[in-house]
This record gives sequence, structure tokens and C-alpha cells, in this order.
Amino acid sequence: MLITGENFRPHVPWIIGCGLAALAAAAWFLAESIGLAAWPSGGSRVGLVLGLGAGLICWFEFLLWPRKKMRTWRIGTVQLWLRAHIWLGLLALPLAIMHTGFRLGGPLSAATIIVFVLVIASGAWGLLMQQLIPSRILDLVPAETIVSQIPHLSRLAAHDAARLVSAVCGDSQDDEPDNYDNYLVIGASRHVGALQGRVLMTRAAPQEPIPDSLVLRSYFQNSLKPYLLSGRAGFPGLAHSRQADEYFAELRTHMPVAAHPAIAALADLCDQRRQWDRQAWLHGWLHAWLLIHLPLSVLLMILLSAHVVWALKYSTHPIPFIN
Amino acid sequence: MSINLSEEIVPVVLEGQVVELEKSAAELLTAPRVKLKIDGIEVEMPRATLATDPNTGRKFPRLTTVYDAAVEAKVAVPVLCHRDHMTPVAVCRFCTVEVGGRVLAAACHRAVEPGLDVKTHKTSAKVRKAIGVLTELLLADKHPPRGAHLESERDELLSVAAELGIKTDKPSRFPLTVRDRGRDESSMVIAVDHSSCILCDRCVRACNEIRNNQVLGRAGKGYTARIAFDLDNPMGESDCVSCGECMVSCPTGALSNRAVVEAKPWIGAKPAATAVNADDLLSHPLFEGISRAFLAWNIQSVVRRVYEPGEIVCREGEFGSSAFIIEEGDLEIFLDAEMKHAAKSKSSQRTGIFGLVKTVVTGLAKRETKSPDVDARRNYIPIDAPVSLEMARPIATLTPADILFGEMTCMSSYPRSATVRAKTRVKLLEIQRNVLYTLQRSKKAKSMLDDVYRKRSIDSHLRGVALFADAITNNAEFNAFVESMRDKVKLVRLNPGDTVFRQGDLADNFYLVRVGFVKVSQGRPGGEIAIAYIGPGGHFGEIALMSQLLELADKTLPGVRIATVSALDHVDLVSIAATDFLELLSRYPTIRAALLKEAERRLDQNRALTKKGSTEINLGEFLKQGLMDAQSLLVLDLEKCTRCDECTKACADTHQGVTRLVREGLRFENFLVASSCRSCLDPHCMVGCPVGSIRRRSSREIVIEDWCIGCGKCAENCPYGNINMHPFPTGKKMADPNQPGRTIPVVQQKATMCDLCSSLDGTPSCVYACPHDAAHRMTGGELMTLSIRRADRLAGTKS
Ligand code: SF4
Ligand code: SF4
Ligand code: SF4
Ligand code: FES
Repeated sequence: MLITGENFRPHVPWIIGCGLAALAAAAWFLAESIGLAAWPSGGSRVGLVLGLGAGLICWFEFLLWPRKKMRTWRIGTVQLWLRAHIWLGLLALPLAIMHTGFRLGGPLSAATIIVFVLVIASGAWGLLMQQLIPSRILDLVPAETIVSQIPHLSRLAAHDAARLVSAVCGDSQDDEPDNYDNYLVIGASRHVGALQGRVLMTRAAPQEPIPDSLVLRSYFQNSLKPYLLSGRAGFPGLAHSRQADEYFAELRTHMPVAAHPAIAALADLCDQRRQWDRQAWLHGWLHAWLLIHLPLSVLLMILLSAHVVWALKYSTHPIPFIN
Repeated sequence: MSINLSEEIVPVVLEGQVVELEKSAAELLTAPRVKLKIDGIEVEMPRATLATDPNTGRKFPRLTTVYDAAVEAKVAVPVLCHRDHMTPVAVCRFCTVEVGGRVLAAACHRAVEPGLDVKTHKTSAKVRKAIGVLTELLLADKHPPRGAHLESERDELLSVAAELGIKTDKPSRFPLTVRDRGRDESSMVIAVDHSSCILCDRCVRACNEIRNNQVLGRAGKGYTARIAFDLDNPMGESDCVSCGECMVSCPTGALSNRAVVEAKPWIGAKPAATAVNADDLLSHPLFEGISRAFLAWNIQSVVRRVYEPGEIVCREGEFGSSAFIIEEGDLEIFLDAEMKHAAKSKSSQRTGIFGLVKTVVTGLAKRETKSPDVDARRNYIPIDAPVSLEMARPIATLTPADILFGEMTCMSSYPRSATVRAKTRVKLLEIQRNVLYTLQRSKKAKSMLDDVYRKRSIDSHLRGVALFADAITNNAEFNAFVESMRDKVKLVRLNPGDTVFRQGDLADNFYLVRVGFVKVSQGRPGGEIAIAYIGPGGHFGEIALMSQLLELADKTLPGVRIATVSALDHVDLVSIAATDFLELLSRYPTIRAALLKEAERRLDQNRALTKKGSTEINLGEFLKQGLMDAQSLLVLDLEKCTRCDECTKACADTHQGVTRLVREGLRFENFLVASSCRSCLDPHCMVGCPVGSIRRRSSREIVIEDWCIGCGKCAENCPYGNINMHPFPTGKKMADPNQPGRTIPVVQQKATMCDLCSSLDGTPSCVYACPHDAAHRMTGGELMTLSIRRADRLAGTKS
């Protein structure tokens, strides 16, 4: 969730509420520790209450996952849940740390708190990514599409390019022998109605084959096609725009001038593919943190449950409210 | 008429708009009217009228025919191949008349000429004989239509025979043909019986001209000539989309409804609705001349409702897509909440280039949200009915003489402008848009409806314009003003793309926008740029007319338009001629002052814009993308959106796993307008539906009812690609035509589109499920405001 000056308002009550709660907890914790030789432990009154609070928050935090799956349930907007998730999650950190009494404790307690800190850290990292990456995508990937559609669109682009190459070279080797239209639509998103979303360009393909241009076919087969299909993984030599400029400059020297518009169209397609690679990479950064955050959260819930059972059953400390 | 491409093109002003036409066409349209006689009755007709090709939007002169003159003279000439809304082809010669020449002429095709003395079958024995023989021959050559499903059809050939007194129960003096020309039952929807076809070509023109489906044509020669689908394929294997237009156009029942998938009328919701049948409807004068087959095919689009005194028929502010024909009883029409009608919204006070931009998009939206934005000085309230309401006593009575009400909502999808309540026990026919469209194709119904519409729209618009109501606060004076203006104003109706006037033209009229949006653009050194758009309630054209006033003398060119104004969608304008406008200014100094202020503001803006060179936001792009019309765009803020696809998944979860939005589409600044229904104010998709199943119920969202026949017209007509086709099981089974002995299930293709989750709880799931505050529903105007704010912010950061 992007938090900016523009949409800061709905966060304010959460920040104030959680801030006050953290301060109150700290004050109580300090007050309870007066006269004690060490910080109050997790089993002390204050420690237990703070631990309980942190534990309940953890459970609530965890519920965001099923909440997001129940998309048709009207139990508060997901946005509201996420806001609560962010600020309560941050509140849980001081509560949990005070609950430990600044000690790692036994292996189970230590593992729980360490995983807890990692969960919070990965979440904070995710939040940071969400602040930075969307606007980077906006700036760096004007040809942005839906990430899961990149392979499909790449195939379409490679097919368009193959038709163009066949129109220029006058052969139709391994690509479907199509009737060449007088025009060729090369685009990222199709079928978006009469006002096409972003059809990148419509270029006239040559009416008839251009003599002496067969060399384009081998360039296409060996490098352009693999690049259009799989990006950097298909042909690393086109992965940077500088490399691509050199590549196409060289290609132009082998080709008749009449074929240069077609080469420009191919260069544009490669540029589009480069943007999709970049988009996939940024998308990876934008969402990769979840691969850590989610499994760690599941692990945390398991550890937390074990910790609760352990503490209640085997704790050597007297439980203040019980006895 | 044929168009000579090498001819000089000249602009002419016709029916309140600038039209570019070939010189000869322009001369025809501006030629003096001609006098001619039909069976001794003298009539005066124009040489041609301006027509628009429904498919290309091209304007052309439609020559006035002898048949048109006969209609004017109220002399009934039988026609078979001719329909008012189709190009005349004169293949049947049923409309034969004597025009004094050697041969008889086809009235539907023969253009009027001065001094023609036309004799029809009523006064000429020669004509009567010719038509009689023709009828007998055609009857002998044609089988009566076969099939049990035909009881609802009416054979127009038999009607003509009856009219001419030809006995059809006795054997014909001409030998009956025995040859069976075959049947085609390959289509699930329409059966073709070639033996009953008289080759009138009505179906061919219906398919190609009216629906632009280009499926039907002719094949074979001589006796084997027949109608053919695509390259003479069986109908069910052709590109036919089953829209039914050919079937409803066929005069003989050669094309008929197989009624495999029956559609049920929408009976629910309101009290006491009953289904009607075609005979029932044909007894109403408004439906006279409407094809019985059409009514039978579209019977789900008409229901009869009976309201007891005090019951509400429709409520102000509700959306809808139906109109009501008053059969019996009286109704009261009034406003729910007093004085919440001012269309003048705060946005109109905004200064800067977009001051007039969203004058009314928001105005309309506000009505829906019951805005208290009122104009206490308004005396009269514009409503969607043939009467106007007095603020002091906002109640008027509608009777059967008013014919119908609610057609503005039905045709233009604007919210209902008043509440209607039964005063006595009333019987109403509620009709859907497709039926109203067809009524407007019939000359008689159209003239009845047009009269009502023109009178009502002009009157109610004048009473509703804030400009006037603000200026004249005295009730009696205001009444006198409306009275005095009534005969001085004209209603101008425009199609998308039509030009009202062009920059540099001499000014002749002042215009008030009643329905739709117009674009104001100016030619600049870098090309033409859009500088504003004006919606319902707005006005334009005053600057050139007021240029002689001292206050504006040095600010603009005298009497010359400073911008081009053209229609963005279907637009109704109320125009006031220059002389009347100037008289108005001198009589009402308050109106003069208000207009002067507005003119100065617009001129200042214009100057500022010229200095800057361009607008901060690409208004031209905004208009080109039709965003001004949108009432509920799904807008994703790409700075916040994490591309998590929760919105799409939520949509799919709400609609049985099939998403109705695609997170891709056009971009406007840093916003992505996702491909999902925008709930346009003037929905393109609803225009062509042959059965009226895509409609608005009582709120903003557009729904597709389950009687959709899957013709795909709406999907094709939506310029934004927001409607998709999906197959749905019907539960029925049919014999497999390819494998005898086997049955296969029948699936019905239907259109699907975003219904703003009205099937769930009306809260769009996409917005509800977005975790990142990135997805929002908003009007086009709101998107514009947001973009301006964003641009301002960015400019602030840069400087
Ligand atoms: S049903 Fe419609 S598309 Fe099919 S042939 Fe008839 S008019 Fe054409
Ligand atoms: S099928 Fe009907 S409409 Fe078509 S040509 Fe034959 S008679 Fe005319
Ligand atoms: S749910 Fe929100 S953040 Fe996710 S893709 Fe949709 S708009 Fe973007
Ligand atoms: S109606 Fe005129 S020729 Fe057929």
C-alpha cells in the first residue's frame, strides 16, 4: 500500500492509536520494573498481558490471508484490513519485545521471537517495495502489460515479426504461410474494443519481397525470434538497448534501404520485449517478499501456538492471575 | 441517388448543422418545394430531405418520392418491397401509379416533380388492373408458409389481395407452381421457406443496411433465384448472428421464428404486470403498420402494467430503459424532493480551462445522490413528460392524449426527471428501447412521437435552464418569457460527429444543450485542439452573437465564430436565432449580464490557453476516448497499484469464475481505465440490441437480461471492448444435424458485462477487494479533475 501525503489521512487514527498503545504499554512496563533487579519476564503480569496482546495481534494479522481469499465477503474492505495489518503489526513488535523482558529465553521462545522479527522485517520490506516500485514501473515500462500475459504476447509479437520477415524476404519457411495483409498490426494489447488499448504501431509491410534481403531470415531465426519469445534468456545479445542499437545498425548495413522501415519495426518489437523483461524483473521485486513473509508467518503461527502451550503447561514461573 | 466523387464539395447549413455535400446534392436539398397532385389532392413537398447512413454516418439527400407525397396526401398506396427506413429498390411494383407517361411508375422509387398528376389504383383502372394481375401471379407462385410456428405472422401479400378484392380461397386462373424451392431449418432461431419467398429483398436490406451484418444476398437466376446466406451456405452455418431483423422484415412469413429458445417477458418488480400479444398491440394506433412478426419476436419487450390510484410508476432520479404508453387513466407527475433539480453544479463555478468542462456530468450524478444543490429561484422544473411543473405546485396531469412519457430516459438513458403516480386506475404499456426504436421507424408513429417530443423538450428545456431562471425571478414574467420564446426556438438533433458550426463561420444562432455532449475546438498553428466540452444544461454560441456589444468589441472578431463545435454523441440542442437572441438580450438585462460575464470568462480562458500553447491535460484525448460520457469508470491509479490482480480475481469470484474486467486498457495520465463497463450516460451498446435485452433497470448499471439472443451486437457496438460473449446451457436438447439419431445440448450464447456487482449487493467487488486503495469507480469528469490535480502537483514538484 502506497502511503503518501495524499492518502495519509485514513492512516492517522491508526498511527495515533497504535502509538498511544505502544507508549502506554512501555509506561506500564517501566512502572512494573521499578524496584526489580531484572526486566519483568514474560510470565509476570505485565509480560503476560503484553504477550497476550502481541499474540492476538499476530492471529489477527494472519487472518488477512483468508480474508483476501474471501473476495465476495463484505466484512470490511480489504484496504481497511491491510491498514490494520500494517499498523497493528508494527505495534506488535514492541509489545512482543517487552514481553520477552529483553531476553531470548529457551530455544522455543528464542525461535519464536526471531521468526517474529523476521516476519515484521519482511513485511516492512514489502511495504517499502510497494512505496517505490509501482511508480518505477510507470516510468520505465510504458509498454506495460499483465505479467502473466507476457509469454502469450511475446508469442504474438514473434508471430507478427515472422510475418514481417517473410514479407520482406519473400519466403515463409517455418512460419505459417499467411496471406500477407497490406498492413501489419504490431501491438501489445489486442481485443480491447474499437479504441484499442495500446496498439503500438501499424506499419505498412512491403507489398512485395525486397531483393537481396534473405540475410534477415538468418538474423531472425538465430537471434531476433529467440529474443522476442524469451527475452534475455533467449538471446542475451539484445538485452541492453545499447547492444540492440549496435545489433540493428549492423543489420542495416547488410540490408537494402527499402527494408529499413521493417528493421525499425523489428527494433521496436525488441524494445517492447526489453520493457517486458524489465517489467517482469520489477514485478519480481514487488512481490518476492511475499515468498518469505507468508511461509514465515505460517511458521510463526506454529511456533506461537507451541510457545503458548509450552508456557501454560511447563512454565516454572507462577502465573500471576491464576494463583 | 448516386454520388459523383469528382464533384465539388460545398458546406451547407441544414437543420441547424453544417453539412458538407456534393454541389448537386446541396442544390437539391435547398431547392424550392414542388407542388404535385395525388388523385386530385394537391400537396407540396421538398425535393429531398437530409438523411444519414446509419452505418457510416455519411449524410446524403434522400429524394422525396411519389409514395411520400401520397402519404402526405393521406392516399393509401399499397407497398410490399418498400419500407420507409430502407433504400427503395422497386422490385415488386405493387406501388405502381400512373404519372402521365407511357409506362406506369413505382411510387416508392419515382422522385417528385413539379406539376406531376399522379393517379393511384383508387382512381386509375389501368393501375388497379396491373396490381391485380401482379398479386394473382405472385400468389400463384408462392406457397403459403409452412410450419406450426407461423400463427403469429401476417402475410402482407394476402392483405393486399384482400384490399384489391382478389379472392384467395378460389383456385387461381394462373397455374400454381408445383416446384418446391426448398426449406432451410439449419438455424436454431429462424426457419427459411424459400417457396413462400417473393424475392422482395426486404430481408436483404434489413440484414445489410439496417443491421450492417452483410450476411444476406441473392443466389441463382430466373426461376432458381433465391435469397442466400453468405456464399449460399445453410443459414445455421453462415455468419448470421440471429438478430432476427430479416425475419421481422419479411412480408410473407418465408422467414419465421422457430421459437426454440423462448424468452419470457420481465414480469416481476412492479405491480400487476401482464404479458401482451401482438394482436393486442396492433390495436393501439401507435403500433399501426408495425410488423406483426416484429411484435411477436419482441413480445418480451412489452408488458402491460395496471396501477391503482396512488401507486408510483417511476421515480425521479431512477435510471431505466423503458417508456410508458398511456392506454387508460390519468397520472400525476411531480417531484419527490422539492427543488433538487438545479442542474447547475458547483463545478460550473470552477475557473480555469475546465470550468465548463464538467458542467453537467456531475450534475446528473448528483441528482442520483440526492444532492441538496438547489437553485431556489427556479420557477419551473424540466421533466420527461409533455407538461411542465410549477415549483409552487409541482403536480401536473398526464392523460392518454399525451400518448407516452419516459421516452427520454428510454432513448438517451438519462435518469428519470420526475416521479409519476397513478391518479386514477391506469393501464400502461411499458416498452423497451428496441420497440421505441421501431416505432420511430414507422412514419405515422414517428410523427406522433416527434410532435410530443419536440413540444415537450423545448418547453421543458426553456423552463429548466438556470441561465433564464436565474435572470427572471418573477413567476408571471417567467411564464410570459417561456410563452414568447416557444415559437422562436427550434430543436436540432445531431448524430455523433455532426458539426454545429465551424470556426470562421458567420454566427446565426445561440444554442442550449439539452441532451448529449458537444466538443469545442479551435484550429491552432499545430493543428486543431479541443478546448472544452459542454454537456446537458450548458450553452454556447453567444460570443460571436454578442461581439457587437461594446463590452466585447475589442476582444473578438465581430459576428464570426471563434471555435468549431461538433457533436460527441447523440445531441439535442435548442437553438435561438440571432435576431431573437439579440432581442432577448435587450429585453432582459439580467440575462445579458450573465451571458456577458460568461463570454468574457471564456474569452479570457481562450487567451490564456493561446499563450500557454496547450492544455495541461490532453482534453482531446479525453474526449476521443469517450471519457466524458462515463459514469462509472474502473480507474486504477498506477502509482499505487501493485499489479496483484486482486480486483480481477474478485470480479471472477463474483461472477461464477469468469471475470468481467481486464486489468488492461486505455491510459490517461498515470491512470489505467480498466476494460470494464463504464456505465456510459449515452450507452452505445444499447443502441442496436434487436430484442432490448441490454438495458438499465432502475439504476445506473447496465444489465443484460436473460432473453439475450447472443447476436453480439452490443459487444460489437461497445467502442471500449467491455462486453464479452459466453455460452450458457439452456437445458434443451436437439437432434444433431450432422449425426442422425444423436441429440446434442443447446447452448445459448449470451453477452456478459460488468453489472457493478448488482447481482451481489451493488458494491463493485473490484474496488472492495483492492488492498492498495488503487482501484476506484468514478465518472469521467472526476477522472479529469483528478488528473488535473495530479498534473498541478507534478508541476508544483518540478518548479
Ligand atoms: S438474423 Fe440478422 S444476421 Fe441473420 S440473416 Fe437475418 S438479418 Fe442477417
Ligand atoms: S425471405 Fe421474405 S423478406 Fe426476404 S426476399 Fe423473401 S419474401 Fe422478401
Ligand atoms: S487489486 Fe488494486 S493493487 Fe491489485 S491489481 Fe487491482 S488495482 Fe492494482
Ligand atoms: S413497393 Fe414500390 S416497387 Fe415494391
